[in-house]
Amino acid sequence: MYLAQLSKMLPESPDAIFSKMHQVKDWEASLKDWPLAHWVNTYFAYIEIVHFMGLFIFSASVIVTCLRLIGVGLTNEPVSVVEKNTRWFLHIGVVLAIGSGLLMGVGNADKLYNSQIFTVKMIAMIAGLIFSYCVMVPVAKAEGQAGGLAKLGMVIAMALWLLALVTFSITPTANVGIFHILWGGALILFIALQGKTRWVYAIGLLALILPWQVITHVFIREDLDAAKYMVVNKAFMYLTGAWITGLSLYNIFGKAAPTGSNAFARMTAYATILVWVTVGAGGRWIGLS
Amino acid sequence: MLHQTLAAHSVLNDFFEWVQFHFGEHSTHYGRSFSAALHEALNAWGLLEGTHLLTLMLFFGTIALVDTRLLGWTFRKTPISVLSEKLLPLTVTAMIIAMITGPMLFFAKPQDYYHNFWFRLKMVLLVVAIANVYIFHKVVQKNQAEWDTAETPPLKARLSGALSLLSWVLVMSCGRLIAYNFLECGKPHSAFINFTQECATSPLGAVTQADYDKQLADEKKAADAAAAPPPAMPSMPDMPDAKTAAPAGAVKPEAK
Repeated sequence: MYLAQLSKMLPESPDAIFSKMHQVKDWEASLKDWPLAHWVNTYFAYIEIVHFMGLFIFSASVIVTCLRLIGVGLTNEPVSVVEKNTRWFLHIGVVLAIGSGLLMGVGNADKLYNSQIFTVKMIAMIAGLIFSYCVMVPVAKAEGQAGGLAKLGMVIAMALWLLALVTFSITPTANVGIFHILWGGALILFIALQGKTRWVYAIGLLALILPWQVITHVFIREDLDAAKYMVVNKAFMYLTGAWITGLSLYNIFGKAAPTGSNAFARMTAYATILVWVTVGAGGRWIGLS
Repeated sequence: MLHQTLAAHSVLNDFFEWVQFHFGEHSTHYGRSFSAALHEALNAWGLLEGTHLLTLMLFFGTIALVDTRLLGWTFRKTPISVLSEKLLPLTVTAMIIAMITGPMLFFAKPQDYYHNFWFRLKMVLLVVAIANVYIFHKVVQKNQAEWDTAETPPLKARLSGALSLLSWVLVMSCGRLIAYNFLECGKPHSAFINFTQECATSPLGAVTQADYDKQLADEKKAADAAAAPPPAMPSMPDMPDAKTAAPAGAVKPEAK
């Protein structure tokens, strides 16, 4: 019975689906004639400032709560207290970022509709919202313990994030943006690791970054041999990614840190920060690609 | 004349012009300066720009919490000293990285940034923000023990927190606006904008609205003159009409 009801809701044929898609395309094409689109394009710079402020404001909540979940930063307070005190940053920041983002979308509808990297950003944004509201917040409220909702949210958001990452990495002219996500991970790890491990990690990272920069700017350059350059870039991306991921996993599944920090909480923290970095990197590369 | 660079001299402008266009031009491929090479280096530029933005997020995220605590909005039960002690190492780490990557980004287009209104405003606001930090440590914090645990700190602490929050928000906003060129020299601007950007010494020159209006009027005048029909030739009644006159010796066709 349910299947019968469901089938009624689905389009009758592939042609019907394409017809709907054409309607979306027509609607998108009409957006540029809206008075709102003209207004947005006049004040675009200032709307973008609001967008950035939104990102900065909710990053205050995400970064501080997530670092506490990892076991660094405000360790004198329980995770739930940190989450409670930064909750409004998350709400206000998300509302500002999404509200201004929608306006920016109206002003640039044509460009965004045809942008693969915009799709990446949207998938990552959905993953980011799930990570933030369905995983990070409940886990923080429960002092690092994961309930059913958090576990389900983790699975769905992680799958979406991986989809966004894979799409990002195969998007021509934008895939170099993956490095932003790596640097985000590198920075978290530098803060999260303690003692000697931190310095071993930092030296290892420099030992990868310096040769990569020298090789790709002196010996195998993009303007002289683009094919080889891409191979070298990818090789260093995998090496750096392996180094950062390996040590992140060591940090996540290693010995327990302060109260409120456990493997699931730390995994939540890393993923939540990095998924928002993916959203930011996607936004940056919409403009560049 | 439009786009006319005035003769005013600026040592800094000349220095940044040399850095942007000539420094290292004999050491790089295609004779590019180091600045141009950096700006066009996909990997290095991405690394710098991405790192700068990420560290700014960490910086702003942590300092905003301390400021809102000073305002009495967040962590009201946590002593200010504890919050600062726990968050400041993160703030300082982010600040150090941003202070390294920021000048490197500036190095890519120093002359352009030197004449950029938003860049100059950002630098002024940066000085205000840093001065506020200094005043906070030297003056406001003197008797912090008395209000360290107060849910709502005294007025001077709240003022310091508000000024800090506002100045950092404006610093970040100006940072983003640097990328926009609507206040670029060479475009018609008010005398104030031309003066604050030192457009007169920039390669694009200072253009006032009056200059621009005059140029538009001149261009319109020239276009109107070009589009006007040429003056009619004086008629010559003795000459036969070329279309109707038959050539000499031609026989007129007979009417049928």
